[in-house]
Amino acid sequence: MKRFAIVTTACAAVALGMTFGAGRANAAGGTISGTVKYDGTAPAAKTVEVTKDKEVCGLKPHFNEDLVVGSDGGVANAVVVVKGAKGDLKPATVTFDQKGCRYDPHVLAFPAGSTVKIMNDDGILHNIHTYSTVNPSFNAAQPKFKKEMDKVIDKPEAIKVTCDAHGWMHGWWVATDTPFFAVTDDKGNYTIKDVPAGNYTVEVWQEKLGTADEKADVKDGGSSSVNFSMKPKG
Amino acid sequence: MAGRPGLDPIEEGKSYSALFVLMIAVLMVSAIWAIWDDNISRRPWKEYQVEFDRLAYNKYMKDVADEQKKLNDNPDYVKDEKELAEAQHQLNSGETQRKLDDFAAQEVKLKNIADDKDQAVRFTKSMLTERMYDYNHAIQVKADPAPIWSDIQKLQKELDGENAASDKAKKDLQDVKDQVDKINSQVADLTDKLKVLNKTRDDLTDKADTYMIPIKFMGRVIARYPKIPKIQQTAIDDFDRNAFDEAIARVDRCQSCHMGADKKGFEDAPQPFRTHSNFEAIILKHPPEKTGCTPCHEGQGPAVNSVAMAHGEEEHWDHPLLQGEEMQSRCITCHIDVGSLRNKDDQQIAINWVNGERDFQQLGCPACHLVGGYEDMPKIGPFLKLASAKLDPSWTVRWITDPHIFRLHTRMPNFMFSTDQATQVAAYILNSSQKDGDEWTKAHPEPAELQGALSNAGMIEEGKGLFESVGCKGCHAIDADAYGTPVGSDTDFKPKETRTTKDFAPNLDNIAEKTDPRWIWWWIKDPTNYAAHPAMPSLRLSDHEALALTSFLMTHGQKKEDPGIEVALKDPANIQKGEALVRKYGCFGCHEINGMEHESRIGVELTTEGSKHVDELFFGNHTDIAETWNAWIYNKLKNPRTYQTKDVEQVMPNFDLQDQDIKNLRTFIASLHEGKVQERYRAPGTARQEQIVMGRRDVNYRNCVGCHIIENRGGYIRRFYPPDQINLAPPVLNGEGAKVQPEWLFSFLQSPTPIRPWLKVRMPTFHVDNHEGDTLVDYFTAMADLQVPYVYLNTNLFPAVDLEAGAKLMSKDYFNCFSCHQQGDKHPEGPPEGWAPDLGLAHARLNPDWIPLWLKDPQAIQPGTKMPSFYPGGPDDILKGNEEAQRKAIRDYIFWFGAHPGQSLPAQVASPAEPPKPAPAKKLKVSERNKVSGISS
Repeated sequence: MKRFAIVTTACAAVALGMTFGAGRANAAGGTISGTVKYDGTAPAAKTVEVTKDKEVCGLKPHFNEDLVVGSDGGVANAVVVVKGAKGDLKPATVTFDQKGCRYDPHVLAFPAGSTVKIMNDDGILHNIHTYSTVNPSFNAAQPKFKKEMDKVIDKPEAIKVTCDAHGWMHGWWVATDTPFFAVTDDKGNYTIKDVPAGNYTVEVWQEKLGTADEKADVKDGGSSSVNFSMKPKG
Repeated sequence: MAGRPGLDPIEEGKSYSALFVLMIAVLMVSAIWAIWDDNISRRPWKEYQVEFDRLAYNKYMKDVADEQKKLNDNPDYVKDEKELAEAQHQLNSGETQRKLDDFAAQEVKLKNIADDKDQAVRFTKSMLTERMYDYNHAIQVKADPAPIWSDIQKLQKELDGENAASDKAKKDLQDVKDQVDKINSQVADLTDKLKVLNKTRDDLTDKADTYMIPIKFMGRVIARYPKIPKIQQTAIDDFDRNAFDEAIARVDRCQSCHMGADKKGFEDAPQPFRTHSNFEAIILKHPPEKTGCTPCHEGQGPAVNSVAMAHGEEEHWDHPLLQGEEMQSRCITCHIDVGSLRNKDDQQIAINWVNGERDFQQLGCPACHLVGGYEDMPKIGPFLKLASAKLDPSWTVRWITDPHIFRLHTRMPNFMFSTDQATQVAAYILNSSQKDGDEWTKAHPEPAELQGALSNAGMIEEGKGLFESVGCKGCHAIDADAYGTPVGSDTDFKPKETRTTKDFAPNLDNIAEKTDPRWIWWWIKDPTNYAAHPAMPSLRLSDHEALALTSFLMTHGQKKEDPGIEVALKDPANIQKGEALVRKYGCFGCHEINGMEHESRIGVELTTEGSKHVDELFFGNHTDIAETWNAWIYNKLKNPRTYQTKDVEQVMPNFDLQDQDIKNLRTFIASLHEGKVQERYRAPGTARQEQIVMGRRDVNYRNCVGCHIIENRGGYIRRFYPPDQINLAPPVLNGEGAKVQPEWLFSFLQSPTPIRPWLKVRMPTFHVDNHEGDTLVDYFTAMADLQVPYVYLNTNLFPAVDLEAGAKLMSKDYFNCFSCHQQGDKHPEGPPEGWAPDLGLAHARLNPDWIPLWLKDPQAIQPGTKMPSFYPGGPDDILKGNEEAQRKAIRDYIFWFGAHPGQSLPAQVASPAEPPKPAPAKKLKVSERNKVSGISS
């Protein structure tokens, strides 16, 4: 009787383990990673002249961030999305900071429906002016006393954000229609995890360079590498 | 067999039965045919109605199904529905029924008990009354009342007991009743709840039922039959006048076929069932059961026997159905201000008419054609009384021969003159202006530095910069490929490929071929140097700027002398012939010409052109043009001399119009109609509407829309500004009347002073006189729908607490307004595209009621403005966080510091307990306002 019990327990444990193992493989899907490179001579970093509120904005030098290319040609701040991959959007709360009159991050990507928490620790007047076509545009002041302001972006769209008080400040909010997206780092690298198995088109968007796409075949537990090479537009 | 006497036996023997049967058959066939014809072939609308009934039934049933689907997705509905079914099931189940039966039995029993107890109470009460009488009686007869009193007390005790028993019995009965009600009400409550949720669905079902009438059996629909078709008729009382000028009704039966026109939801149905376009603006405001259809659509309202008859598309019916944009020609019969009629998407409903009317003015039609209401339009062509001082003679001849060769998009039409005729006209124009022109030249010498500047590359470059920045490009282009403000339709405008869309102002390409630098210098310095009432404004150029700009303009083109022309132009015979030509072709309609001051218009009057009968129109030798009013007008505008014959001469010049402009103009001309609508059917006209109409004409004449967006139109200069510098373009003037004070606007129009001195583009000086200034101010005020545009605030009466709050709100720690707004001579930090107007000027310029609205939501007033919204989200520590009070405080402070420049805030104003109210937010009538300010009328 005792032996029987042990065997049963062992069988159950094995069966359970198998189920769990299989389950994890399904849920995990595969990983897409790669690099976005610039096909051309990397532009030199251009300093932006701080023309206003220098005591706050002029503490650190500002650079034009339209197109930031790393030493090995990697393009920073490009948004990579896996098109058509199924998954829950899971809107989140993401932070968009105004630090020393610079937007941090310069490009903020999030699933549509997310709340953007806009921070202003600069202690001066900023305003967030969005140029939307799909979502409603707004131009909201964020004076010194208002350190935090929340805005919900409901629909997928790449939205230019500027500060009218400080003409050099601009950034992008990219609301995606998929939970599978990433923003490239300084070296142009990105990783998108847990993509369900399947064949997809992977698209990259960069404010200055436009879009490009590549195919990806994702297998459960596997990882595929998708690299982009982007040329200057036009 | 003998017949009756006197009868012919042979005749009697004949049988007529065959003939009889035949005749009966003929009679029957004709009777059937008569019925058929009367009810079916002459009633084509019946078929339409049956078809529509089916369509509508299917549509509403589909809506019912959709609504049901929606309901099924609604958790409330599903829950209630389930509960109701359960409750009903329970109600019908044996157990509940038994319970109810049981309660019913109890109820009967309890009722008997309660009644018994009640009766006992009443008996005892009677006995008590009797004993009370005995008691009183005993006292009166001096008997001993004591035993009776003890009786009474006994009875009283009995009554108390009985009362209690009766109350208890009643309560028991009520309890049972309540329980029964509770069981029953569960169903009733749920039914009521569901009724609310089901309302949309049930209404739709009811609607569907009106089209296919249900036959019900035991509450279920077992069959449906179509509604019996019926003429749908609207009679509009006293709408028309008969031949004896008596009021008669107009009868429209259009909806006998067009059954979906006044119903939403048939937008995609085929005609004649489709929902009327612009439903909200047209059908909801002109319900067909009141206004009918033909007042706008024409056609033969009462006719229903065929589509062609109903649409009036048959011989001898003068008002065939209007198609497409033609309908817009009818708005003016009831509305004064057609341009302001907008649909729910804020688009102009009569856009073709509006464009046509503007073309009519801007192409100079009223210069030759008299039209009631357009008698006093300004002359649109250049001033020619000093022409000899301005024009190159060779160019003048070439220009008059065919203006479109030199300038593709000029508004000047082609008179199709031969070179000889053109020379003659030029000879008269130049000769008649020679004397005055010479005097002008003497009085306006060439600036000393001019010749040097013309060859100075730096000056030319500077001039180019000025041309591109000061505002010339709002009206003018200077390149054959480019355009300034277009006249007429500017959709798919391709300057090179089509030579039909007009420029409002001349394209200055090749300007040096036409005139000389001296004239240009004096003209651009200020056009009033040359012409008395120029349409072109002055940009207040300095002498140096005028030199630079002249140098730049002179690089465009060069003189081309045609040999021998000077001699021909001096030939007296040519001058004489030229005078006759000018008179005949009516050049003075658009131009001021010496010797032609007393000429009258040469064209036919068009005041009632739209009601002209086709028989009154001369088609010449054309057989290829349909004999309709529409076709006649179209071809007349397309090719104005097309109806000319050997013996009938026509003089109208060719404008080279594009199709869309011809159609727009035709729509406008069709609205010049003598048909009058009774006062009671017209939209109530107001002085404000007339002010809008007159002001809009002046806006068209001055081309304000070259730079500004007004009524959502124009701002053509804005396309030269990159998106991040659009703030440096001239302002959008939608809603300007609500924004600024009328006194300010009036003086600004006469003598503009810069609001944003850092802008390169300048508001020009238009030399408007008081009358024109007033017209424009009225226009903006009326557009903003302000009854009284004047608001006065006494800045000395502002409560100190308000001013302090305002100052605090505007300070660096709060809204930091001066981060962008100029303060007197102090510029904000950063580049000019981030600057905003000087708030020190606001008190004299802005309407005090407007500032709080602007602060509340700037984007709503001017979409895309760089002014951010501070609200909602004002600070909690000022004025107790009351945002409305904060906005008012900012307004008060702005007004205060503007009116008291350089002063520090007043110390706590000696204010009464109740702080004095700042002047009226309430608007006063003129008479009251005069009283307030002590003006006696």
